[in-house]
Amino acid sequence: MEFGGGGAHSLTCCLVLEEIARFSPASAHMLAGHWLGYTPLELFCNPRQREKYFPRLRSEMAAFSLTEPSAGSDAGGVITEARKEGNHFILNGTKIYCTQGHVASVITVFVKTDPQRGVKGLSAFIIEKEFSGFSIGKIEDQMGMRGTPAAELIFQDCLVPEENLLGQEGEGFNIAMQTLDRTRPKDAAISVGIGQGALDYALEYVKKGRLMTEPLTKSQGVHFLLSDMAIAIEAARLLVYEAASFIDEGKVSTKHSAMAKCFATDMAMRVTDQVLDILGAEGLLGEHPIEMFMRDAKLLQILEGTNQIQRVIISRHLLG
Amino acid sequence: MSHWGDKPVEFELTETQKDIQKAAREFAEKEFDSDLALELEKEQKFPKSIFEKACQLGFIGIEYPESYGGQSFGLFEDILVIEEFTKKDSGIGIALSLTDLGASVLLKHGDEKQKRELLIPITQGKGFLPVALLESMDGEGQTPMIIKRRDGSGGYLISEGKSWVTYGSLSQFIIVLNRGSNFGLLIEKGWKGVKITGLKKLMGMRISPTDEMVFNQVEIPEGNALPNSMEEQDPLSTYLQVYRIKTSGQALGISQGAFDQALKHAKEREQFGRKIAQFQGIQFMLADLYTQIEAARNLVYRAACGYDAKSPDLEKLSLVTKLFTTEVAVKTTIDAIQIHGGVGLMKEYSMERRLRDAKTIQNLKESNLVQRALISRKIVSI
Repeated sequence: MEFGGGGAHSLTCCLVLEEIARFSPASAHMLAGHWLGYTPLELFCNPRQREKYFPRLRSEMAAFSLTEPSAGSDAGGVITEARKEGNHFILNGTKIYCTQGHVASVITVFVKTDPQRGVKGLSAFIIEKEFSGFSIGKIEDQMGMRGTPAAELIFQDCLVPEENLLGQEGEGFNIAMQTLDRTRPKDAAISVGIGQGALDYALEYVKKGRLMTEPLTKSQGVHFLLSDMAIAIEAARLLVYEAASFIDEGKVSTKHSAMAKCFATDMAMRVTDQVLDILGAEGLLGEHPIEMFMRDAKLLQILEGTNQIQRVIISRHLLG
Repeated sequence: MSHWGDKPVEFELTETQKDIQKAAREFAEKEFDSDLALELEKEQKFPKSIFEKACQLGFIGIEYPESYGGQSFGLFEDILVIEEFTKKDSGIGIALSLTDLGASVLLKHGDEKQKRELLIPITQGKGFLPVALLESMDGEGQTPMIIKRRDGSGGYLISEGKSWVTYGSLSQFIIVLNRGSNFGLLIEKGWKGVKITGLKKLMGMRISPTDEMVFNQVEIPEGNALPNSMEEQDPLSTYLQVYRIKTSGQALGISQGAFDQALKHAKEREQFGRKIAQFQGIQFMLADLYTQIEAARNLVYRAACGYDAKSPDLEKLSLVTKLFTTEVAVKTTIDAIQIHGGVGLMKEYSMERRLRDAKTIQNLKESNLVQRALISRKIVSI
């Protein structure tokens, strides 16, 4: 708040994302991408970093970059390296699939400061887009969230001042995981918005559409589909609110964040698919937003930890 | 050996069928360029040169009698080709298999002259034969009328109607069908009252350009009606059954191709120090997909054989087959993208195109809700 932000809580953020995603999932994804980049700073900035970057982030975008070709689900596979030289780190390597990396000014990047130590060798750095040796590579031509594409980040002897190390050396994995615990409910909130937006759209369509010669309003098959969707959306919404509330109460639950992300994104995929079925051939046209919603939902099942990784996390918590 | 209609039931392909399958696979592997498909998709253009080569090799019209330029095989052999084609590339495979949707109608209900004039050019890569299934202009579900003219000419009149027609703008001839009447009419695009009102930008199937056509007071001479329209089966049923079975063949190929790519990726991709195929979570996903694809294949093959054997129960079987196989295709492509992770989302990888194509063929003509409604009518008779 002292730097001009809203001081918003996690639940508030989720409500905002949900409402925006009902109409424009990619716009919500843009905001979530910014918060994803900002969260590690919020959690781990020292006072000087806070002073320097928070005012800038009132009007400029942040981003988060962990993924590499060899490091998707497994953060230990990161090979981009930071070598210490004097009072600088020299970064070399390529990151991929960084949401809005090409429009962000400040990016939290996870690289290896100790290549031998797997995830324990990961450290986080605050990268400014102006740093020498930093450039943007390919901007992805992706299936969904096309309004907020992902970009490739290239580090060629990129010079990073040592004061841009976030947290301690070797603390990168912990920073990333603590961040994701707090941002996964946001992806889930976007999914709830997608599901709700799709259901709202279906309800409007049902009023005038037909199944063969029968009005859709008279089709019990459609009634049951709509009911199933409404149940799934509401269940996902409550999971999201619960996970977000835990964060706001200082009782972050890795398990609940993972459950919310997994359930809500799977729900969004299923609901958009079902709404397309109700719309029939009409729904295949770009004039209706639902085929876009479906493509957007598919991204959410994969980003910030695939839903398979979420299941790994949840089962670990169940089995202890 | 048991028999089903005229066909012996063996559940094994004959040597000839295996040769057809192999030839189709080799052709697709060699000629279907996914980068080209991606380019064509942006412009909504048909893969003409690949189509012409497929015609030269006899893949298009494989089910027509030799006297009409075909190979005298059946729908089953055509399905083997469609499966191989869509397995390699969903878009190109669908595009090639939709070029002559009207041919099955003509083969069953047309006269010698019509068959000769229209089918031979298709097999030479010089023509298409799409079908326009009329809907009313207001979309209110009331059947638009094709009527027999009363002026003594023996001709017909399409009063008013519209339809989405794949290849409507590329074809000179179009077969017009109408729910609720037994007429099949062969019309020419240049005729008075026939208009193409716009290319549709669909979620998938973009290299099979689909146009909206409007028909208004179109007069059709007697000679352009399909003469055998009042036989035991009407042209509309023939069309829909073949359409459903061909769509199922496409869905099967799309699924198998997606599965093969996902399996390959899972066996190559390493995370956490091992291949992701070594994780049981991935193995179970693959096992489920494999099981469903096997079930889909058996349905499609059975329906296609049933068509060739003139099975009496084909209406229901074709509905069940299309409903199941297209749902398998959508599920398989969604999960195949999931197994690929981020790379599966990128256009240049063509997995996401498979999903869009699968969803499009599922709902383009008869949505899966329509299939369910029709199936339930068949099985519940109160």
